[in-house]
Amino acid sequence: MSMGGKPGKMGRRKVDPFLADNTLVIDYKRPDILCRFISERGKIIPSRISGVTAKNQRKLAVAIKRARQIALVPYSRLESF
Amino acid sequence: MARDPNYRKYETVFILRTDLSDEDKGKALAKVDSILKDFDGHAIRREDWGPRKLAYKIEKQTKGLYFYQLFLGKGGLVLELERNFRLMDSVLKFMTVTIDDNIVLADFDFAGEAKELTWMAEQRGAKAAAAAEAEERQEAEEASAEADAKEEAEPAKAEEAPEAAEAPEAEAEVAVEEKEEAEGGEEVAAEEEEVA
Repeated sequence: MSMGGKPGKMGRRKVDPFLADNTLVIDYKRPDILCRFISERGKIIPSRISGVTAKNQRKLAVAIKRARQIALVPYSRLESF
Repeated sequence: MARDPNYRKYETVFILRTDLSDEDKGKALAKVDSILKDFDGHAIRREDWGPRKLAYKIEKQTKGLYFYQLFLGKGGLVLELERNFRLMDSVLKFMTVTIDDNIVLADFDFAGEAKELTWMAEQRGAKAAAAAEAEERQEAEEASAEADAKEEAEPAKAEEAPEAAEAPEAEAEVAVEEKEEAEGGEEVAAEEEEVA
């Protein structure tokens, strides 16, 4: 828990993008949103980097896996591209 | 274990091959409908998401026709539906997700649910609208060209023709702007993906 303090040293607590913007929904049918939370390689981005809350990260992971299943989002992608 | 008398709400996304004839496509869709009917299912709505690029190759195909079917049914229906999908050569891939449990048929708002659209269908609709407007624009241009030709041929009607030609052109400009906006949005999405 950081309370502000000196920026840079304490670091700022990241805001969950799903709470900050309620047009963002977690749904496997929205590859446009899911792609924000997938690395170039196709991996799910950890919540410590994206700032997604644990609860939402769990839902997000399910959504991404479903989207992969139906070929809306890749399982893996080569880094060179 | 007593069977649950109530229904569940399911959605199925299935991908058909792009190289199908219209007849085969119609057959596949009719098969889905008939299974829903024969196995105590209630279709709510079907969406056509159109041809989409697949995120990875399936059966050596890079593109697929996406369809989305929302329905009420019981477990046996899903089993039968998926069994048939596996048998059909025209289906590349399918996935069924349970959305809701314990639905009482009498209380279910079919008309309301049938009207809603997923984001995918909305996107497709927007694209189709843009294409239609672009076509309209082309027609308007042709019409104005014709009007110009008439003007030259019949100087007597010159007063009426330019007005008729100007009106459709103004509409056409609006259409172009909207189309550009839609394309811009896609680019942004692609960029975001790269950053991530």
